Amino acid sequence: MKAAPKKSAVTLSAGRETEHVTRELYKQNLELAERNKTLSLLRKIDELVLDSEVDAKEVAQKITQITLDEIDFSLVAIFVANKKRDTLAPYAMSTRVGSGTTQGDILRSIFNHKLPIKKDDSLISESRRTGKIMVAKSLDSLFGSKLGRHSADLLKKETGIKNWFVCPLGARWESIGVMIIGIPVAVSRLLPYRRTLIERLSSAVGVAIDNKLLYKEIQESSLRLRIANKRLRELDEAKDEFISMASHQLRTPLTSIKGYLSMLSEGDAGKLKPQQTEFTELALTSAQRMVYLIADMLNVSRINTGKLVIDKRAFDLGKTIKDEIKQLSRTAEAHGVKMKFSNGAPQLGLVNLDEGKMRQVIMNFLDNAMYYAPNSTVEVSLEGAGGKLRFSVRDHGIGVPEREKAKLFKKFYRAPNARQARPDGTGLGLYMAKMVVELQGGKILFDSQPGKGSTFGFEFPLASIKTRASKKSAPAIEPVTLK
Amino acid sequence: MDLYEQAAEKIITEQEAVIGPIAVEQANKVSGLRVDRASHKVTIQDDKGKVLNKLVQQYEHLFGQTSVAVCKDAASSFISKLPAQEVPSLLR
Repeated sequence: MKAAPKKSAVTLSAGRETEHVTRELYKQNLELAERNKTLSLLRKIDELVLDSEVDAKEVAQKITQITLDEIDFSLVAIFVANKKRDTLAPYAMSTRVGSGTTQGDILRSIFNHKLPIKKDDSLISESRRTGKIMVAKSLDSLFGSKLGRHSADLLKKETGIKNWFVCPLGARWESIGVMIIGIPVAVSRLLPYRRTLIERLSSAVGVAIDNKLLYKEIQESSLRLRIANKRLRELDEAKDEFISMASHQLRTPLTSIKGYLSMLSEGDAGKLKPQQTEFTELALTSAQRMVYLIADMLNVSRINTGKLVIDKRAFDLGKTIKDEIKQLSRTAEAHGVKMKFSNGAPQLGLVNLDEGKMRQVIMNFLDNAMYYAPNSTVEVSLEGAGGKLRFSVRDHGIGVPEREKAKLFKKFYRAPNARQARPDGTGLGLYMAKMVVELQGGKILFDSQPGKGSTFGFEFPLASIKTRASKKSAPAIEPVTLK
Repeated sequence: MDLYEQAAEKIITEQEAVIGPIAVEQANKVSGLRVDRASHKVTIQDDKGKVLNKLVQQYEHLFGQTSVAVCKDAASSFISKLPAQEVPSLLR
């Protein structure tokens, strides 16, 4: 008899424990179910953002709609700040309050107006300023100027919307707008997980809207850039066409001038007096310079149109250098420049390169040295060592400022000090030199110290340019297409 | 379905999300209430307010006060449309 009460006490205890476990399990299941709901909603919002066909307003509208589909809110509305940050524009609104009803129409009207952003103590301002979610019991505290207290109370009664959450939408440490959520219960009865969902939702929506707005901005910038690039390409092509046409037009009369000057200089029109010879030779030198200049311009336009041809032939590089130095001797004298050539590779023999273009490269380097280092000695050297052939022109002139070095070999670029020292330069010589040398497998050499001078030159692997063939060997013509 | 039936349907759906099909089984034990298993369509006979209260009690009995809070939350958008005196006591 005494055993029975103990047994029922144990049974009672076991029963209570089961009840407790069941309730605890229910709570855990509830938490999991709510988390799943939240995650499902956030995932749908993410998918919206990834859809590139949809703009920010459409995303906002879909967000309000799917939120209402998933959660028992009565109304969800999104406002986004304009670029000046002085107005909140209505982006989207979804509500369970039926359209066609007076209450529904009033709500739609209210939530379709811009809200001025004021630095006042309104709930919206406070929410944006503090980044915190604010709660209003009545719509008139959000839209006071549009809705009086009496109307707000009536609306509350008719729609059943008891409280309003004002959630700041933030992204990248900035407030981009607000989301307003109307709920049909008192805040005190709102379950904790529902409050958590509102917080996570406002965070996700802020980022989603901001991403969409950023994407739109990037698309617009890209379009502007594409238009600008297209215009620049058109201008570049027009410039190249002009250069090509002008160069061709100039070459013909220049060839004629050179020809007659050459005949004069050689005495074909009779013996010249010493001064006449001097004047003729100076004119001939200038004409030759013009020929090189025009050739540079033509080659630039050929490079741009992919029509530059490298015409490799066997020639004596050392002799070519001497020829160019001799050609520039009068100009050098006029600038007070002494050119000293040291040939450290007299056994070099013939090399296989485009003689015409290499002659131009050498002339460009020598010419630059004379103009930027007047009244000085310019050291020209040719060396063959370590399997490489090196040509260099070293001057003790103005040098190149550090910040200009990276741009020096670009088309039409001239350093400011160079422009001052020689206003009539084209900015093509170094560009052409680099292109021609590199297209033949070589490397440009450059070193400079501002105010102390510069060294320009080129280098080729001996194995790639050396030829055992005689001067009569067949030329190698390679059209070069540049991408 | 009227507001009471809609509220009941929503309560059962929300409970099912937490406890599974047992939510429907428990609802069908409430006298005056019938749930179609496939469509979840609810029909309530007699005093609808009382039947709704019984439904909430059914869940409370098994799962405690937390389940009542879930019922209130689920039914809120329908109940808010009812006059105050017609709101079932457990859902106030």
